[in-house]
Amino acid sequence: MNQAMTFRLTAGHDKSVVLSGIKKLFRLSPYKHGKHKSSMYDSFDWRLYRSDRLLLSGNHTLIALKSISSEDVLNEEPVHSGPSPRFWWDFHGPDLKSTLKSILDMRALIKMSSFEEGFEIYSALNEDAKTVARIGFYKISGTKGSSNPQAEYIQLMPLKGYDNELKVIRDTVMRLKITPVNEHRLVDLLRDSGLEPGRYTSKIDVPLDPTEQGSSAMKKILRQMLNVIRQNEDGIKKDIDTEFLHDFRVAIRRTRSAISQVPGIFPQEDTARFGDDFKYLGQLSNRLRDLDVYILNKDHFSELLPQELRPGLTPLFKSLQKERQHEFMKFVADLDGARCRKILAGWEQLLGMRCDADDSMANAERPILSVATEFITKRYKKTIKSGKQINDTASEMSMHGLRIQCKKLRYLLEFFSSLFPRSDIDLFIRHLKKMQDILGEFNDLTVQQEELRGHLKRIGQKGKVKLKEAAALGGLISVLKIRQDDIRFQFKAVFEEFHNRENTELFHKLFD
Amino acid sequence: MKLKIIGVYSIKGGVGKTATCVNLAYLAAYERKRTLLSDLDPQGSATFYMRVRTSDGLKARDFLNHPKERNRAVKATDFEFMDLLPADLSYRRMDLQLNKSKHPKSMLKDIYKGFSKDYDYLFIDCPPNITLVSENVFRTADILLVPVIPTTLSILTLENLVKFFKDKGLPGKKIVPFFSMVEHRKKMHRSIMEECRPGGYHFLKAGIPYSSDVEKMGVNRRPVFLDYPNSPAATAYRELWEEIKKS
Repeated sequence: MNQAMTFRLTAGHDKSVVLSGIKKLFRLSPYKHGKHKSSMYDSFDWRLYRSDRLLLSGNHTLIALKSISSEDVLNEEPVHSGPSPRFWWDFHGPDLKSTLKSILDMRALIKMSSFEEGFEIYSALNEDAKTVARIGFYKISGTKGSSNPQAEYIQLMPLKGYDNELKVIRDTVMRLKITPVNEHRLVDLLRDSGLEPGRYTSKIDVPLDPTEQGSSAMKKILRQMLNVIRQNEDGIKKDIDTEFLHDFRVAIRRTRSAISQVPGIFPQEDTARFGDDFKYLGQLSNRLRDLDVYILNKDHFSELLPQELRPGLTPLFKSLQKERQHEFMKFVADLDGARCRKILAGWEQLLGMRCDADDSMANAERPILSVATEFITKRYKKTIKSGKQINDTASEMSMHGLRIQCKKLRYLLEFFSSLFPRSDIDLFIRHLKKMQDILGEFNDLTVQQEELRGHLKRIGQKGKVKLKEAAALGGLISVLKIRQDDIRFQFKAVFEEFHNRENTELFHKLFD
Repeated sequence: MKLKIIGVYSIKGGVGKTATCVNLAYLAAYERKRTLLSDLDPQGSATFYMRVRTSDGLKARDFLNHPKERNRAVKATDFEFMDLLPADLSYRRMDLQLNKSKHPKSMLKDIYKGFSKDYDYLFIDCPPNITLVSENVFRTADILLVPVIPTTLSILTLENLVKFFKDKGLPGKKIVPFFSMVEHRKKMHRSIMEECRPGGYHFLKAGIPYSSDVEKMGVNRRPVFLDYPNSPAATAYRELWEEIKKS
């Protein structure tokens, strides 16, 4: 079936011109007209928009999930009283819930903009007075912050089984030289208010020139990280969802990793100072992130236990929630505090400055390709060396050590991926990721067991331990321990896959 | 929601079968349920009501054997959420085509299953007479709505249908009769309705009165609700729909 087509009307190409053009082909009959207000919702990182979805809520009526490209309503439900839904689980209809769950996951919905839309829709009729297409005129004004863009659109809406008729109408409109808009009209108007749907990404995406000087390339990468840090601050403070902090922390870790892994870009004292500063920034939210992850996994933990033990976990999660509130307040105060602000301002200044090279800046003027291959190769060798030492009885410490090596290698590969053939480097990263996933899970299981043991000890000391609670905690510790041993046992095979001939050859092909 | 298939069937013609099918499908779509009306009657009255020409329909052979052609033949009606699979004159020979197939009695069931993702309700306007096509619909439908004019002859045809179901081992529970073209001023109508209600058949409570408003659907070519929203017939169809949803 044809897709709906949108055109933006401009002076000289107004409604009457379009209508008289179409009237030469079909009788037009008014179908609907009116005015309504609506709001558009999406996650901070535009997950709905990226999945061709638009979530619109009319005042006191329906909240509807539409396909951007076809305008079809996919799911809808009445707006319920009370605060507007923020997460997928706040919705009521099972279909809408499961669709949103698969797209949004743990991300919250944010109101991106509000619109007031006047519309007039006409039916194009054939000789049997059967509707063969609909033509809508929309006059929209949006509000987003202080901006107030307005525009008029015409939309050609296909009807199943009448593709040819729509094509004739479309050709007529095209001949009038009216600009087609390859987006939904509301998305198009959103751009006028300065928002760029789909723009935010926490991923590293810096196109580099292989001959570019090291300092220029590294600054580009680091500026992008700083941008991610800055963009997430507001969402963290408003406590919109857990992923603002997550993206913020990843950007900080990447920054710190870049500073320490690729030395000789900045003067030595700056490298040392900001290395410490970013370590400090990262540590500030370690506990808060851990707590977020426990709370996000509440259902998962509960499902690991037999039904009758599950209520025993309630006090644990109550206490985690309470601690999280405290940690959150503390972290926001730190983030607003003088030290954090000074660090980030100083860093921004350094990235904007041209430094004259001195002896300590050995890599500043080297071409980035040679810097990248040198450090990737070094890190790869270290990773393989520590991977070889892991066996079925490896300690948690040595597993942790390997996890850190892998993470460092992964960051380097991502920083410099634009310098290497896309499909090869993506494949190599995929293999590394497989190993990282298993190491990550192992580490999570270690930390989770410690947390549970700590909690058990604390309630024991307070002397008010309840049988059900202790049983639930004990049960959970056992399940986690079994899973952890299982992973340790599996690890050897996973490492061997990473270190096999094929992947080693791929590495040399990329970086020798 | 799972696709619900409602066949509208009568051995006799002229009992308000097509009007029922069109009006009920409209009501389902009006409730924003994705609805498909499949017109299997080669006379194409439902297709005509929807202002589509039967010449736009697809041949029986393509309907049965070519899923792509079948999907392409679906047309949007003038009403949101309501689509039509138009009839074609060649459907009068659909029995022959079915007979040639591997599963002559259940072929339509498989065909309509293909629509289960895209629709919440499927209404089938069946051809009159007991044929292989209607037997297929009997097996496919979750509910078989049977309009019955309150006359002795109509009751007899209903009895024939029930017997046919029994002979073929089909679940008789699917048969849901209701009174159609009821004229309350006629003594015979009143007495037959009283006799049958408590009898062996589970007639729906709502009955559709005989009405010129329904007849005018042939002139206006659209569901009765658009031209006579408050007519007794429109009200009766709404009541009928409420009962069907509960059954």
